[in-house]
Amino acid sequence: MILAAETLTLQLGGLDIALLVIYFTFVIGIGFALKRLVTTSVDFFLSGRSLPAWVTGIAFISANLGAIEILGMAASGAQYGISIVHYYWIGAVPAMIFLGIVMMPFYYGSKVRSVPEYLVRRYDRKTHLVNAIIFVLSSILIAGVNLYALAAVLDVLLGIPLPIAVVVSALFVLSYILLGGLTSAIYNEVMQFFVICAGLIPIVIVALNEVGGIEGLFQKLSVTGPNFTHPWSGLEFGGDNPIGDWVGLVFGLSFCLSFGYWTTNFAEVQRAMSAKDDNAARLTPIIGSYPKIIIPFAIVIPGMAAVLLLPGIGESGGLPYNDAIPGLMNKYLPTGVLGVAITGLLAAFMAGMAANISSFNAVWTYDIWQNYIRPGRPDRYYLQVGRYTTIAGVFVGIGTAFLAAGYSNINNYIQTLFSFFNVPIFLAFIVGMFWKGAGRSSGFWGMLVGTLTSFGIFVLYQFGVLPFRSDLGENQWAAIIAFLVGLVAMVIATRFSEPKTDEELEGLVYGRQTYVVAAAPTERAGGIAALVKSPVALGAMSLALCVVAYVYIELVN
Amino acid sequence: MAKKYDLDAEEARAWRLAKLFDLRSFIGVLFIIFGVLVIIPGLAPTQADLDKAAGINIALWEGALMLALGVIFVAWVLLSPPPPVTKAEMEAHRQALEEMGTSGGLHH
Repeated sequence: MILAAETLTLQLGGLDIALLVIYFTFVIGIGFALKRLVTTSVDFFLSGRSLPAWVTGIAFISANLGAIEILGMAASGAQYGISIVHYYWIGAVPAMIFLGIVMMPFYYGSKVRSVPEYLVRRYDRKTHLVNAIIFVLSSILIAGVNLYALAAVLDVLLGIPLPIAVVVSALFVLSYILLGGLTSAIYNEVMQFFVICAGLIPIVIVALNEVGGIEGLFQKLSVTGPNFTHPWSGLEFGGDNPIGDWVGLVFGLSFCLSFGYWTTNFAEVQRAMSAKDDNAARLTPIIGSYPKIIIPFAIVIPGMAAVLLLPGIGESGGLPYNDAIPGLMNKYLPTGVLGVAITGLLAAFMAGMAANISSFNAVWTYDIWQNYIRPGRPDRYYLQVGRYTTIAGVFVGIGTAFLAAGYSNINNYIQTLFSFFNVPIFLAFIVGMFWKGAGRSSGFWGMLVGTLTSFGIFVLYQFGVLPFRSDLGENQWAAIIAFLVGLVAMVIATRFSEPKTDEELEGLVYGRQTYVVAAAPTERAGGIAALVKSPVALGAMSLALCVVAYVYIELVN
Repeated sequence: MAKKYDLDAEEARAWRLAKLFDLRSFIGVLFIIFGVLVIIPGLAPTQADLDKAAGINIALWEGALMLALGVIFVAWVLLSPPPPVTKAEMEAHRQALEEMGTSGGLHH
């Protein structure tokens, strides 16, 4: 995004800079305030399993609401139009509800300390090791990409030289995680969530006011063709909506890609694992789903409005699509309000990196160091390892940031990365949880064959052998095919490897869970007061709200 | 809410810190500061600022919104503070966590 012809430089006033300084003083202050609470490794990696559901729920969505997501989804809104809401209401919310209602009891109830650790108990060491190593590498890579993106924004918008921006932001993240561990990261994520809301709301208000409300926006944009303002247009086979076809959206994007991301990505699940009890853990992703339903109105809609309000965006010589949100900020927000918005954006970048680092250090310490390198040491030893790992992780992230080179759309870059690994990993989890007979080594073979399949499809698409309608369509179909091929591999592998015994599977598979959802006090209690603590009731309401949101989009069209 | 707890000096100090360093206190204070700083230019907006934001006094709205959010969070932590934890409870919790922290997946 720094290669474009036109560049955007923000003129910050003294007040804007004061707001930035105050915010980052709070960030570091939280680290110091929480330092005294970190006495065990579980405090450092899982917040001592002590946080209430509203905190973990907001942190859950905030860890996903990094600035790459904000800028990337606004860019996609400007580029593809309203259809990108499918990435929220089909491609995220159902997965979050599924995690909360169905999968969380296995994770939290079995007392595993990370997502990969589930695999060592459900399958075998090689399944576990492969997953742990992939996670460690990808989280460091993504931390570096986040860091690079943050520095590029600081460079372009504020004129801070890239190397200085990389190092200073990385040291910020390092210091607060080192001091307060995951709790520090989570507290900052929750604080950042409210700041980013305060930053986005004025843009939505002013931008919609300029284009004549959401009806005016759709009416003015409808000249660009039906696909841009109608989410369901052009999704049939042979259709021309670049977002994909409906099978790809429902099975590829929703069931494979988004279930994979939300239910097995430890950077997300870790937030739920840090909750104080079973019910709070299950509520975590469900509470997070409510902001997720509303977020497109604050990101995709301004992105679409940018097509009208920032003439020439996405064209050669104009601003790049990724500058939709910063461009609107610059054009419309007066000093003070602009400072809040920029603070929110920078905080979102930092939170994105912190989420990667704080999940990386847990998996490295518990899954790799404690299992394979130095087992059987006292707890404070692993706390120490966690601290050193954090330092090492941040420095590798800095190195990655300097190496990171961007695609034209950062969003596609991340999606491509996930489509190789995440779907086969999700396959191993979903089959492992619901098919008791799946053999010890079947998880490994499912992941290996699935990953190779999705990589192979990507290569064939790049060379023009396989025709898909767009990069997004390729992602979705590669996910479906990788899931199915991997599933066949798991069935075959099960024939050649012995199943796990019932004792080994205690708490890990359907039918042997330690926490029976239907018998939970929050599901059995009646009355309105009990409803707000029931994951099933809140999850059903969340899905209903998605339907309402789709109906609303049709009504204003 | 003004329940009486039987705490020794050390426990009472830990409880005061827990209330002060509650997440809600941080968010509340941050947003009160942000609200006040942003609302000031909104009270007497310049024509240039109004023109920039399409005629809306956005600083006033934004400042008031943030101030209200800050007050809500501070009120919440004051009205329902975190409960105190005794040393015995803390020690039991710490031991449970140490056990979990050293129970590697391969040793089950």
